[in-house]
Amino acid sequence: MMGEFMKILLSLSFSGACLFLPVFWAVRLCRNRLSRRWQYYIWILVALRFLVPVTFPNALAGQLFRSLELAVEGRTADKPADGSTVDEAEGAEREEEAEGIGEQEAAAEDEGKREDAAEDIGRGEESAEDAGNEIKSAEGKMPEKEEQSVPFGILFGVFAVWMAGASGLLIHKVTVYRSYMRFLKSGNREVAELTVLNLLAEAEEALNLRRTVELYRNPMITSPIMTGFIRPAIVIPDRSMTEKELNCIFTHELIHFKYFDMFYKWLVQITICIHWFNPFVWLLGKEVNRLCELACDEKVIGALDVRERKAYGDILLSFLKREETYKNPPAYITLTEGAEQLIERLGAIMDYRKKSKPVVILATALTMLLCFFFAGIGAYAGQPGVEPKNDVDEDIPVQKDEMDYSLLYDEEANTYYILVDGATIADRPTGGVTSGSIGIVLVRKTGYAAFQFSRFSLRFDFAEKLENQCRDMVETGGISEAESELIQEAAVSIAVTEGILTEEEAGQYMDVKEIGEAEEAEEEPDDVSRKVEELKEKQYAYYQRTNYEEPYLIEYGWNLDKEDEKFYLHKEIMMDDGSQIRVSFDREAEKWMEDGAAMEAVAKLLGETKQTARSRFGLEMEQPFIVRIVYLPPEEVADFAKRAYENGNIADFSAVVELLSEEEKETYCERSYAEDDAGFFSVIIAETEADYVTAFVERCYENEDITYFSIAVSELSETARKNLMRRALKEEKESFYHMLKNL
Amino acid sequence: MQQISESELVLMRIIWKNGGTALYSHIMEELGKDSNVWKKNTVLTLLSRLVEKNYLKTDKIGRRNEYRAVVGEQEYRAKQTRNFLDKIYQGNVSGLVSTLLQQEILSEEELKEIEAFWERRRQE
Repeated sequence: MMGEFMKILLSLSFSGACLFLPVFWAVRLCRNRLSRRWQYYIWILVALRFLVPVTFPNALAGQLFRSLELAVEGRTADKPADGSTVDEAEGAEREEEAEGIGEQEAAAEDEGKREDAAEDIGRGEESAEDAGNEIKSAEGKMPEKEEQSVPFGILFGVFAVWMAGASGLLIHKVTVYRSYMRFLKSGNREVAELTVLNLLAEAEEALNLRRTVELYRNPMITSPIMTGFIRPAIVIPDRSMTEKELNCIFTHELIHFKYFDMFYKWLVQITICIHWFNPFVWLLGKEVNRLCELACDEKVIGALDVRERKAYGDILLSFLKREETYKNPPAYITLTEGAEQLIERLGAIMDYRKKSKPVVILATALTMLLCFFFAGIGAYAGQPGVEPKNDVDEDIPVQKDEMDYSLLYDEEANTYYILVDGATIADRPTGGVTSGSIGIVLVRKTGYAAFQFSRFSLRFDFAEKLENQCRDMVETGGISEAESELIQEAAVSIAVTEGILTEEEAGQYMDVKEIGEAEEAEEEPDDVSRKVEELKEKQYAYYQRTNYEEPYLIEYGWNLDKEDEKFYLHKEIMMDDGSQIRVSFDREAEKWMEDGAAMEAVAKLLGETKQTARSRFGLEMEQPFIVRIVYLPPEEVADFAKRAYENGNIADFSAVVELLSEEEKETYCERSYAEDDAGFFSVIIAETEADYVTAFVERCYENEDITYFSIAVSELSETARKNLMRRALKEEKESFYHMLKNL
Repeated sequence: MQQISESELVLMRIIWKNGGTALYSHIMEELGKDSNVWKKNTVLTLLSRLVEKNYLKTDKIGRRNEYRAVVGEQEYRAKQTRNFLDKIYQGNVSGLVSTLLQQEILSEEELKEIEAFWERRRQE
């Protein structure tokens, strides 16, 4: 009986792991394409596969199994004690083992012996009593060939170890959860203000919730929490909050409640307790926790515009867990879980896109496919098609094109490897890049070529950046022309995986190259040229900035739309390098057109911009447009900056900030900090001296002012950053540490 | 007896005024006359708190909930007064009466009336 139970358990563990891989793969592949909610719920399939010992009648699997059954009869006797080995090796050698187990399980099943797992736990205890007798008898018969080839003593030992692990873990989890609930309860005070209760009621109505949710304030927590199964309650920290904040918190927590996230989390926790020896369930737990918040955020922001989304992000940031007295109770739900996860969540919030129709179809298809896996794996555990074959665990093949390369992603190194001319994963160089960057490495049998990009900057001009780098590499002989093509092609699919390009954009990018070539060959108007036009529009976005060119302040832009151009006056201006450029003037700037000195300044400025536009802004300067010119002698700069600051004109202010004295800059820095004006603050702090920045960052650190810390920290020198990182680690300020680390 | 909040007391008063029982719809109707906004779910939350604290019981009438006061208005007042007396005057009644007189909350005539009332009770 006990053997039977262990077999079912191990076969479930194996089936679960088999399903884990395709799901993990699907989720990673479609990380930014499919809704977070889908990614979140698809894991239920895996959890159920780990828990439910039911197979679906499947003709194919039945046949497969019958033919195998015959082979098994002969082989089982030779098999070692499969249960114990799997346990000792902690699932590392699962492939082989499970093959045997699967077959045995199947055999058991056929005889109709399959038992419910829960029942067996009870019976396990019974069998334990007479275990002593049976051990003796088992020892006596051991060397003989028999159906049950596992000696009972070993079997019992394995069962006892499993039982101890599972029950110990479950008791631990329940105890921690209950003591956390007691801790909360002791500090909970009913919220009695009508306004706050009404806000909650509104949030409930908006979500069409039928039940009411209790509301408490608790001075002992720093981040809002949703608790309770029977009497659900939201607990908020005891500090004053704006209506907006409250509304966001309520909506977020109620969504957790509405979608039964608490039950889901406990389902996963129970899976972990039962399959504690299987590393995949721990990964499952991690994935579900991560996606739970992402899926919830997605629902919250679905109804928000960009500005409100930013506000929502700020609110999340403000609740960033600082030092809580209680660590990690399992399966409870807070608003924020820590810096590392928060960074991902904030990114997802700003990148939010409504899912289009093809995506819904993709999601449906994937769901069906995975459900099929679910059924298929259950019916026949040893299915060879889905055996884990990766020699390196975290390397997930992303895509295999018909061309002769394969793409691998190493999550730890944040690096994609493009394997060519028969290179294998063993040929890749070691090391990686930080999580703020993406590495792309071309691996040959004989060597490699590496590229590195910052994730954030990639968003704007991915294609061009890559092309530039490739061109440089080709010129220096680092890679061949063909390899350059290959990298660019692979990079587009990476960009889509990473959510840097949408599928349409990627499609267009691929088309452009083809169209570009086609166009050179012959003029084909209609379709092709229209596509090129569309693309140009996309790439040639208008860009505007304000700059100081002594003694003028010039507000100007470039890449003015051709359609718009005809509304303005023009002038041909000769730039320093001798080339002429046609410049458009806005109404306000027209009066300067005949002013020689002003035009000289314009020419100089445009000359500089032209040279740096591509590298600094990712846009070639064309169709320049002068919006405004202000005569501003150097002695009036300080006054001008003051006015700009007071009027809240960041563009004007940032144009002249570098001309201010260090002392003045620091004064403005203090002022914007005191007035909580993050926009100005970020402009000024970038212009101050390194020592001042370091001092300021430390000040924010000591005041635990994470918002300004996050702004100022990006201006920090490398040494200062490392020093502070060590300090944060020592003082266990996790959120600051992660922010410094992920820079 | 547990303490209840201002808003909960408003609900209790409505139920008391209605003779100790009230339908949810009646409560909402009365609250409509109040200057504050009372959202449906807010009222439900407050009512369930009152049930939790044993001030109310719910009876099902068909599909509708009727709320019945377990604690009467007199009883509530008595308990609250007792609480107040214990907390502020450490149980000293004459202290309370002298404050009432000093502040002219209680007039001479009213005091006389109360004395007369008390005399009658004693003789009975």
